[in-house]
Amino acid sequence: MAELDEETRLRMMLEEQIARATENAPAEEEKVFTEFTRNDNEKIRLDFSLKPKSKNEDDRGDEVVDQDDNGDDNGDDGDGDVDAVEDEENETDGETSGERQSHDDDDSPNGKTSREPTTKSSSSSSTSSLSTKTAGAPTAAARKEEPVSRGLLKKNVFGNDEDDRGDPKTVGGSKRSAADEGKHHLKRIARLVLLPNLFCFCLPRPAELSKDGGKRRKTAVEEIMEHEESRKEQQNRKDYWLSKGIVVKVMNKKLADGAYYKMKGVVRQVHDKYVGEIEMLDSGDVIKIDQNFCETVIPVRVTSSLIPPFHLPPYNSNSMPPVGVCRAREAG
Amino acid sequence: MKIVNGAYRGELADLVSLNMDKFNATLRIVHGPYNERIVEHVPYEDFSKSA
Repeated sequence: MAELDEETRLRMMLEEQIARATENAPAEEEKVFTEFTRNDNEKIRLDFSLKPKSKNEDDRGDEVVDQDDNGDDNGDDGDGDVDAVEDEENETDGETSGERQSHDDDDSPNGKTSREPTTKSSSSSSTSSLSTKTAGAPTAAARKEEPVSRGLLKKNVFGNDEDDRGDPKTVGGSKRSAADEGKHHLKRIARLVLLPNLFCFCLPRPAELSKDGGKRRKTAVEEIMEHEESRKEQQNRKDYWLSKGIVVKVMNKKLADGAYYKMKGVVRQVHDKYVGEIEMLDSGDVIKIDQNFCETVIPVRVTSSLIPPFHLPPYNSNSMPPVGVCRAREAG
Repeated sequence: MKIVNGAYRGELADLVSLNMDKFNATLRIVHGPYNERIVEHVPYEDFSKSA
């Protein structure tokens, strides 16, 4: 239950941050700040009234991580139990806890960018009253919310102050810390929000499954048939094709001065796979000719209509009509 | 008809239809293990009239 709440809250925060980030760039900075503070104040109130424990726990976890080893997120969730006790103490009196938190906020950026503390302190002190006010409120809010928002806020604060801009160290430090926080944030979100969704995506929908299954089965059969066909094609495709008993057309103009040109004949014998002994249909002459000078004969009309089934049931190879009949029909 | 080349080389077949534009034909094998199989897109060079 608590995890679920946290998840939903994280989502909301993420959405808010995205919206804010998109709004941030073009909008005026002061207005943005006021909005921040307002939103964050509301948040804080809500947290204290409703569910302060899990919130603080989360924050505490972050804080511990930040202070102990800047960038290792092992203790992010694991330290929750220990920190919860301290948080309960804080919750007993709301105002003091709020103050403490604000103090923590003032500390935490120092801890974050602690590697250059002097510049940080000078920046916070040197900023005008407005900037300090805004800095106090939004950092508290950020503490409540997310590390990334903190980073954004800090950037904005620095952006507001023209004095601090000259110092490259602070800017770099803030950026780096922002990046680190971003990493933490992303990891947490990935763990809590994205992973379950990813699993959801991995599962196939039933409709797709059935569709794919049907299609796959069909293509499997087709693939097998195609494979078989291509295999047979490879096996049986030869560069010689003359065979005994087929009708061919002679296409040589030089043989006997073209006497057999475009004449049909039946292959009686095949010599050396390429040379055929052809008995001409009309003259009965037998010629020996290479397959290159021959052509297959294709009837213009369909075979079954060529030989009507008056003497036999439908024409097929098992019940071939006598050769004489074919001859007679061709001659006719 | 006799198929003289290609995958079904040596099979006896009936001519089902001719596709004059693409110079091929559809044949129905009438003998052997592939009996009654319809083979499409058989080029003219691969089958001939059997005597």
